[in-house]
Amino acid sequence: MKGWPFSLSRLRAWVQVAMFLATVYGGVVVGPYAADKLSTALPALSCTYDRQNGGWCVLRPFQHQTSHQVGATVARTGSVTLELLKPLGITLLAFFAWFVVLNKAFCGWVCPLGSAQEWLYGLGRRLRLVTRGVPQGWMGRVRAVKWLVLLLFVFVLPLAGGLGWLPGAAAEAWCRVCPSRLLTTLATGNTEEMALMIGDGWDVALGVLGYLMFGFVVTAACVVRQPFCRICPLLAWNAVFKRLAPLRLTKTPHPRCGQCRSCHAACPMEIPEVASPRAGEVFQDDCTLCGRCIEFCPQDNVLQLKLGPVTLCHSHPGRFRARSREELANGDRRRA
Amino acid sequence: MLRKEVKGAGEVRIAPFSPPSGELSFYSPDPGIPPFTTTRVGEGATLRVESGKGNYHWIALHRSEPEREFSLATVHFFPLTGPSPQAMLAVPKSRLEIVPSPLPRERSVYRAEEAWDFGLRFDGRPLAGQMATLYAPGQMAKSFRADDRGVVHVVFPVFSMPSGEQPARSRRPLQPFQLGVEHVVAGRLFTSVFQYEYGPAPWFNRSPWMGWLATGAGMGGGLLLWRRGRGGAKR
Repeated sequence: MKGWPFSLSRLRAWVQVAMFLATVYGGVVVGPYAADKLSTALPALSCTYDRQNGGWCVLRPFQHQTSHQVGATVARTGSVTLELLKPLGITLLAFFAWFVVLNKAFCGWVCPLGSAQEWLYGLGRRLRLVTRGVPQGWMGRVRAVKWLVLLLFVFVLPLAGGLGWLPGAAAEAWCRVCPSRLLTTLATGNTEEMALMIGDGWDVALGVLGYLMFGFVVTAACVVRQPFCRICPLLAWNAVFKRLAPLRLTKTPHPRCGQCRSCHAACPMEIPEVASPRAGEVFQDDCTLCGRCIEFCPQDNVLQLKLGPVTLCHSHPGRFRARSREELANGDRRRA
Repeated sequence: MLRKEVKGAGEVRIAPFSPPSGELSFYSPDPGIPPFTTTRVGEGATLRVESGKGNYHWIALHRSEPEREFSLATVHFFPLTGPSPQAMLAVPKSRLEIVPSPLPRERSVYRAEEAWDFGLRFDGRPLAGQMATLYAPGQMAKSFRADDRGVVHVVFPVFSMPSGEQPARSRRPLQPFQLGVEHVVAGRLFTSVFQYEYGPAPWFNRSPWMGWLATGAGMGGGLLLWRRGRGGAKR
């Protein structure tokens, strides 16, 4: 980013706005059929419930194939074959193809819910609300939740639904609780998804859990950075492959690493390891590749965003000073 | 009526109830694939589609007589990849036809109380001012007039579903409908019917106030974390 007329944060802010518009309203521009094709080719782009967009979030085919393909067929035939798992493998490969380009930057640059949470946090800064962080002692437990959510809501419950052990609502358990579904449909002016589906107990239970979580995220995001991202199953799914993609956060340790902890304060996911002097620890499962740690590192070339061997940007004292004049590492605005 | 029986992700069997004569044709969204046509309508026909050949396929039954021409069409969605159906919809498949715009999708399905557009064309040209009539079981027939672009805005009527008839897995039962149009040219009657299905109104089996109440409760939980102050992290 050296010599560029704008900071990484500013570039990311524009990309986030553009991607929010594309993922939520893009179907209006390109038409429903093209939106279908685009989001099928680039999974994790949009929510299926956006009626005008008709997109696909990658978690949906995983749920459907686990339920309708694997679960329902196993219930009928009593056996599991490789052929049965083929659609899941194809979805996984399509996701991986997309993932190779972006790695976890999907979370930090593209995800509409991630962007909305950042904007809400910015609102909280404007309102001068006191921010709250996850206590360090809880970090390990909180990190584990996203894996449990992925396993339970994207695979176990849909499989149980497909096997006939649970009602139909379980077949799309994650979609029923996903706050991104509520956010993106509301953003298109569709309030239908805000109405609780009343069927059996599972409909109500999953629906209520989703609304509670959505409401909590909306207000909590004003004082807690990225509250939902901490438990998002897509972040967990991304983390499975993070070492395989060329785009990544790297570190060249410096003797002063771990002393100022400016990078840790700047991290929206509050990852303590980013300040660690050990290079191998910097790219954690929770990292969304937003690049804030790079901007707020005062040392030259300690933190880098790399695409394979190519350094896309790196920390620099000049950029740190310029960025620090705009805001504090924790997101608070500097006052005159 | 055309009876559809889905055999798998890439296979559907079509068997007309009536009329038993005519030509049954399948149109692919892939412009490189010519339509498949059979005259053995009474036996029905099976369409198998490979991945990459598109999802929406147009299925039409044509019957031509000296005084009249009849076409009955529907569309089938295969959960496969391939070209979009726009080219397929743009090409005239019968002299008088009804063209849904857009086609329903998985979540964006036809629903009661919602308005959907259908284009009316004759020889590929829009039929402004033409009347189209919607038929659905247990409902009064309802007519709609096409606008200047030959588009009718069809509002599907509300239907009631006895609770005992609801399918076990889905709480959004579907109701078949037929949208028909008649047009006379030089003493020859052209009739075109598009058949598909629609679901109940958006608020069927849903409670808006319970959803908003639960959201409000969640927001209240988040608000407990709020505290005004000088800003800055509290750890």
